Amino acid sequence: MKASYRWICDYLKGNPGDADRVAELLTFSGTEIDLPKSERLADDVIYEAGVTSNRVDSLCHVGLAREVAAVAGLGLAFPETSVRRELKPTSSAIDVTVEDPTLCQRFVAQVIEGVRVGPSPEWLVRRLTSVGIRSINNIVDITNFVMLELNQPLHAYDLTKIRGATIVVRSARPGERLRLINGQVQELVATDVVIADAVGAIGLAGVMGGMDSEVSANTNVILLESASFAALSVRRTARRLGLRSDASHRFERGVDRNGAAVASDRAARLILEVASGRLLSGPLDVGGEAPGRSPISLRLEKIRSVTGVAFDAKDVSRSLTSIECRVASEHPIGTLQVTPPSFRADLFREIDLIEEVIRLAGIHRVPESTGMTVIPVPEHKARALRERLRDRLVSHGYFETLTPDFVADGVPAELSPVSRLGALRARQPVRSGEASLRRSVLPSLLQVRKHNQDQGNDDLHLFETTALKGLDAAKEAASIPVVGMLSDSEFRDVRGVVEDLCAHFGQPVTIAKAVVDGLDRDLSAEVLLDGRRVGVIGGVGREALKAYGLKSKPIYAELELSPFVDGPPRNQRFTALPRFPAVERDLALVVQESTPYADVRRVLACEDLVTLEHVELFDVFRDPAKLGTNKKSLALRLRFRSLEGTLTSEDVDKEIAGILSRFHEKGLGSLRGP
Amino acid sequence: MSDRDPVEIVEEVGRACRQALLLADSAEALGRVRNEVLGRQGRVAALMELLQSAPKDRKKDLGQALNKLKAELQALLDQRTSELGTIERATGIVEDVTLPGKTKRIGALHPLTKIERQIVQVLSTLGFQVTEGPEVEDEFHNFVALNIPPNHPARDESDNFYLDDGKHLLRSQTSTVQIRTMERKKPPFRVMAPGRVFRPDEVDATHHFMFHQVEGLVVEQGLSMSDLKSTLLAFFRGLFGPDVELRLRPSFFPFTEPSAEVDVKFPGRGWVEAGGCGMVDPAVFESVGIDPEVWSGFAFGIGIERMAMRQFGIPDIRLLTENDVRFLRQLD
Repeated sequence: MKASYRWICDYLKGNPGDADRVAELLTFSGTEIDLPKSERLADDVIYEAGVTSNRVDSLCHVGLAREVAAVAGLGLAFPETSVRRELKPTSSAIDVTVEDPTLCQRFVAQVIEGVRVGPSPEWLVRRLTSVGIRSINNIVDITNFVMLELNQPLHAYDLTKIRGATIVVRSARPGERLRLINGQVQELVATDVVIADAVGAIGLAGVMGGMDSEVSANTNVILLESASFAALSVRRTARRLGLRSDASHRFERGVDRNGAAVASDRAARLILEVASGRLLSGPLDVGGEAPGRSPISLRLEKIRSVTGVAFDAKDVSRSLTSIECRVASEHPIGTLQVTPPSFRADLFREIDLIEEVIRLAGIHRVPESTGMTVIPVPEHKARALRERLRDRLVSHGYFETLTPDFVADGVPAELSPVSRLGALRARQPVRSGEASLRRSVLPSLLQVRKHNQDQGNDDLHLFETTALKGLDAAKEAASIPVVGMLSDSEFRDVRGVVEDLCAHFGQPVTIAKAVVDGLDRDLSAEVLLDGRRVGVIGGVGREALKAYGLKSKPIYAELELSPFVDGPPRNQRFTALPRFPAVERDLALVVQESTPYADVRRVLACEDLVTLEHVELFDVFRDPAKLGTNKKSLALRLRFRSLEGTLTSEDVDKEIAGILSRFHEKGLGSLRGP
Repeated sequence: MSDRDPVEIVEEVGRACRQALLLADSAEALGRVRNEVLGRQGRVAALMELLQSAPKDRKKDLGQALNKLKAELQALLDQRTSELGTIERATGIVEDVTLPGKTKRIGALHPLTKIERQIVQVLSTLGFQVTEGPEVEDEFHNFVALNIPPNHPARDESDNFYLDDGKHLLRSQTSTVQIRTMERKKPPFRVMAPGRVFRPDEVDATHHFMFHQVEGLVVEQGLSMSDLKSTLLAFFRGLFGPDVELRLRPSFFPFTEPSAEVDVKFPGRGWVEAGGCGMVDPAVFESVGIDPEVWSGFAFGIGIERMAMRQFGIPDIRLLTENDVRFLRQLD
């Protein structure tokens, strides 16, 4: 909100200091003044003031002056409201009915005859334009001026345009139409509250006036409205029609009902001054002031225990009185009875008063340290695992990415290789077409890959940990923590990383060929733990590559993290190092092209091959001329060792013979000839 | 030959060998001399044959003289080698130590992860335990329990990501975890909740619809703003060093009362906003069944993006989610 330093000073008795000083006083008592964004004029500074949402009363210059006065210990120079009245009563010119007091708690109406509508005097134009309000004519300008002064939105009508000389505040009739002062014709609904005359709606209460009854150059008699409308209905109407005015902004936050009459008199006084005219007597006041507030008990000891600062009754009383609370003497001892003013709707509990005390006294007075006890902290298992996993992936050469959870609608079939939760979408897309919450990290990583491709970065290895969100079977919100990896290396490289992660975190997984949505059906596998899929690895499917415009063919892997967290802890215990030397033998096994390595490996994994310590596949060789078509040669290095003694060549020969005959039995293949 | 004293012959050969070694003027020449003198078919080896055919009474002296000569010549060879270099070095290719080093490929953590870890680490030393909460929340936890009543502007459709199941929304602050924690744990406790939050916003250099915070919550008996201030001071000093200063400015949050903005200042620099804080509002305690007359609490929130951008000098928030690997590598 824009606020003028000079204007604020108009309401202060005594000198508060220069614009920088006043900005400081406001900032450190709760209204942040953004000086870099404020406008420095030749003889004024227009503050950019951050009024917090609980302080409606500060949305005006008297309100801000009140804050400065309280903190600087100055008096408040409240604007002059006394005004000369005629004998003729207001009730002879207009009558006002409010159908539903819950929609309009108070309506104050005054009538001024014989006004001369014209341009505003210079001082008024200057004040308004300094805070970004356009000057229209002297009447409308006064209503805006008083709103910015006292926080009471006002409206002036041309009384002769009010048909039947009668005002009714009521709900709109469905289908009722109104042409607003901005020229728009709106069709109204039953939740809109209108100001109406004998014929129909002439204004939208609290939001915007109607064009037909607005003050024009020929207007001679005005009706001045100063009212208090229900915040909720003003907000609903303003939202529905997409209208936002300085008036509606204030009503939505709650305008002080008790200020309506004072603001009306103030406006009347100023109108007589700048536009001449005669004010009728006896303002109409439907609703009147709010009933008096009950006092709040404020315990001095509680102030100390909350803020850490001890205040005595005199200090507290003075402080709260400076913001117009009524403070009754201690009763019981150590407790003050405090009645806040009507314009402070945000003060209704003891704790609210405590906040006032400390911010007015200066929050810097809160002392440092009392010494809290120190408690040792247990580890958060899931987090610790995730951190270790990230470090492990970094050491594998992967870069961690961070991406939002939203994916484009229809992302290759809303990929979900691992998540079994029901999908969720935001009602409002974050960008057009992007409202679904991702059910895999793959789309996000493909997007990152594309961005990097456009920058000329290649040979990438990326990972991200996140929680995939969705609904469980009971329609409750649930999430599945996962890690996703996208790499420009080969399938075996990524499989190697996955195997390392699983081994490092103690999970005995098996990896088996499988068809996975979104991945290349000829190059994909699933990671199984106790027969359940906990992850996938595979080349990114062609459809996805095309959708993201990727030129490379990266490999993707996704792993669920809960099994790592919930699984049994790793058994890190020493086992004796072997004492006897190993014997290595190489075998070249020729098998059918279609034979998976897993079949060969399974033969070698037999438990009765006790001395077979390690198997390494170090080459796969194809040569139709030498091997025949559809054949491949697997070069295996077998390492034998006994824990009981040194193996002889004959021992190993026997093992090899046994292995070869097993291969033969299973029809797997034969040794490669010379 | 047979009549000359073999020791004399050894000495004579020794002199010649020594000369040859001294006269070698290059690594190649030295290499040739080495072979001639100490090679398998060299002169010293030839002298060994002499030992075999020597008379018995001269064998001992001859042996000693030969050993002495071998040692001397080896020492002289070593000396000349270090002066002239080996043949291999002269003729072969010597490794260029000024070539750039090679490493195995190493990756990097995302900068926000690093900042979050720093924050968590320091708060751990202050006794805070990590707790996590769901990113998909319901209205009770995101608004009602946090003292944000129905029809409050903060609940507007345009300011939140409400989800299509009609029941949930993406959380707009990590303060929701305060409620989740207090529902599960009995005080006293000290918890921190790092996490991701969502608020609809236009994406530009300083705004995004997704960001990250760390929320802190302490609930004990007899806590005051003094404890809040001291904890924050200890936290920021733990993070930025002992010279950092802290100040509070009164502000407003629905779930704390009194509330304040937190500013920090590094020596020689100005004040910068670092987060928000306050004493837990009694209404919040009441919504989770904790008696505000018995228990007191304070809470604070730190924005991770803001801290990362300031610490690393990142000018545009979008860099954090574009994940250009050159960016990620730079900040490793």
